Parts: sequence; structure tokens; C-alpha cells
Amino acid sequence: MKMNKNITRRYALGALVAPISFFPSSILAFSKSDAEGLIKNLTVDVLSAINEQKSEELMFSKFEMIFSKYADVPLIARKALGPKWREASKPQRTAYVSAFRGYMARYYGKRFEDFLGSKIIVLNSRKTSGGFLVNSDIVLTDGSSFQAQWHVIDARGKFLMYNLFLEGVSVLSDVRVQIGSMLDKRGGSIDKLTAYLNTAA
Amino acid sequence: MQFKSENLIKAILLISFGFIFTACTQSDPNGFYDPLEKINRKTHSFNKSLDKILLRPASKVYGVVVSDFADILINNFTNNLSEPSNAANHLLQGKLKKSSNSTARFLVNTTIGIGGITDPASRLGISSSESDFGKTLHAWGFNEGAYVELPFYAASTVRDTTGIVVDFVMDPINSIIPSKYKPHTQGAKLIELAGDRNEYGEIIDNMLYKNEDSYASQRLYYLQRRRFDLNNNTISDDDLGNPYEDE
Repeated sequence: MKMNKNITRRYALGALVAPISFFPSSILAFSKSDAEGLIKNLTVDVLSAINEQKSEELMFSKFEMIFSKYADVPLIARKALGPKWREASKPQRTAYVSAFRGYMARYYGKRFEDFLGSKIIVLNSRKTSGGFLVNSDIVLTDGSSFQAQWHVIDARGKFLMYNLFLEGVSVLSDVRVQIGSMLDKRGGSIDKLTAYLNTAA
Repeated sequence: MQFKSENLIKAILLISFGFIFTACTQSDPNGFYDPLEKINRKTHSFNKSLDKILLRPASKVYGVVVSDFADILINNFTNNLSEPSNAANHLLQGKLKKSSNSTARFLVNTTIGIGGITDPASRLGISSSESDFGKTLHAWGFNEGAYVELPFYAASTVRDTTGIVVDFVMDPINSIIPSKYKPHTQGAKLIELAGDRNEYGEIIDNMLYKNEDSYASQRLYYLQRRRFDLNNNTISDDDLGNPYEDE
């Protein structure tokens, strides 16, 4: 309905903020096996970061590196902030995304710590509009398992992780709830949010 | 598992009551329909303090006192008690195979499984699958309805709350087990509550005490987890959202 308007705005935004720009493509530049391969590599790196059992700080910085490599962090940061993104100035956006990188690493790091010694088995994937949803099982040391589904998207011609669903719960939605609440508590100030995000976990 | 006519009338009344509620509400599949948020948040802080002073300490005691082995026995016992209800609900949803599995599990585990404390049915390859009247209502096409946080019971929806009431009133186990054993079975369920709280200790602690907004987190976890379960563990394109869409 508002398709054209949206596309215009999207391209305008893309031109404005070069690193965060992205282009919707109708033809996917990557295949099922690319998406599954990405998640296989990502989970291998994640598990090795957890199992190394070095300090928490080191683990978090490893996570930050992993996400920079495998995930579309700027887009996730933007989606987590919601409509407020449009109000932010360019320097505010840059500072926010940079703070979000650390926050996301600590957020996932804290939740993945429980997976010490577990196995992640990539099962299969299905095509979605603009990407793939990769199915996996996380098998914990006590034998219990739960389902993790990874949403891989075409990000500016590169395929990157966008979201993770744990037993159906969207991690991005959860992060969005947390960020929204942090923002509310700070009177809607992005600068205060960014300052807080640098330390929040 | 016979339904007495009196129980049937109760169920019909409850279903029509539930229908009135769910029919009035519109539920957005992506978002949350939470018109009662103000009251829900009050209930949430009540539940949270209840968890702090009662359930959380009880679960810590459970973790120390109850051995892993006893934990499995208690788990088996309470799971077995819910099999007749599972069977009835599967049947109401037209899932005949699952219904007969639940019935077979109950028969095998209650007898060979020593009153349900062990689970030989699983070893015989009779797989378990839980169900409840909330799922039955979903299968019959009822809407989710508004999100509600129930005192003592935590997260739910209008549809699931109707389900809880119907399951409670209609539970076939009530006509199977002699009423003199009722305190024992109810007691086991209460102990199991502490056991579950202990098992999911860290996840619940994180949600209630570490998250920025524990109410919103709980609502999200409950609704998305429940929808995932109702959709046979699949994530729809709606759930994925559109990463390329502007907000």
C-alpha cells in the first residue's frame, strides 16, 4: 500500500547512513547451504568462546567479534530501537550502534553461558522472504534439548544472521522490550540510553 | 474417562462464557493484545513478591532436599496424573493417535510403572505429548483473547484461562482416583511446582529480577512460547517480521 513511499524513504536513508544502508533484493544471492553453513560456523565459534572458560570479559569481547563477523549488528541495533531511530542524528546513531555492539555481546554472552559443554546441531532450513530460517537443536549436557531457529538474511549482498528464536521466543523482540524500557526510564533520551548501554548487560 | 452430564453442562457454560470473552477481542498475531495491562502489572508485582518470599525459597529447599532421582519420580508421578486429561483433550481435538497414546501411557505407567512413579511407557516407545483445554479451544478456532496475568498462576490469556478452569473442573482423573487420595495428588502437584521453579531457576531469575521490565519480558516469553507450541513448533513468516521494513 505504502510501498513506494517506503522504498523511497529506505533508499534515502541508505544514502544518508552508508554503513547502515541495505537493499532489498528479490533474487537471493545465497543458497540454503550458505545459510546453514553460516550458522554452523557461527555456533562452532560461539561454543568455543564459551568452552574456553576464560574471564567473562574475554568471552564478551569474543562474542562481539563473532557478531561483527556473522550478524547484521547495525540493522539489529536499529530494529531494537524502533521508531526512535528516525529521530536520532547521525552521530547519535553511530554512538548508539557502537554501544549496542557491546550490549548485544553481553546480552547473548550471559544467556549462552548456560550452554557450557552443549552441542548445537544444525538440522535443516527453509526459505523465507528475503532469507532463510535455519533449524537447530541445542543439546545440553544433561541430555535435554531445545529448539533454536536462526533467521539469516541477505544484507547488502552478504548473508548475515538477523534474529534467533529460542523455543519460539524472538531474541530480537526481547532485546527490543529491554531497550524500550531503558529508553522510557531515561525520558526517551537516546544519549542517556547510549551511555547506559555501554555498561548494561 | 466418562463425562458426567453435570460436568458436560458446566463445560458448555464455561465454553460459551469463554466465547463471549474471546469473541469481543481482536488479537494481532504479531503483537500483544493487553487491554488489562494496568491491572496485570499490579498482579505481576504481587506474583513477583510471592515468588520472592515463597516459591523461590521453596524451590531452593527442593533443590537441596530432593535428590535428582526423587525429582524424576515426582515428575513422573505428576505427569502421569495429567495423562487422562491429555487423552481427553487430544480426543476433543480429533488427534486420535495422540489420545490413544496418552491413554496407553496412563494404563501402562499406573500399573507396571508403580502408580506412575516410573515411566516404562516411554521405554516401550509410547511417546508422551501434553495437551490442555486451551489448546483444544485453539483447535476449535477460538481467538487467543487478551493477555492476563493471573494471581498465583502467572502468565495466561483469556483463552488459556478458560482452558485452565475447564481442565480443573473436568479433569477425568477426578473420577478415576478415589477422593480420599486427592490431598496426596494435589500435594504432589504443589511440590512439583517448587521442582519446576528449581529446574528453570536461572531462566526465571533472569526474567523476574535481572530484566529491565520483567512484566513485558514475561508477557513476551509466555505468548511467543505458547504460540510456537500451538503452531507445532514452527515459526511463521509473520513471526519473522520484515527486516527491511522501515518503522
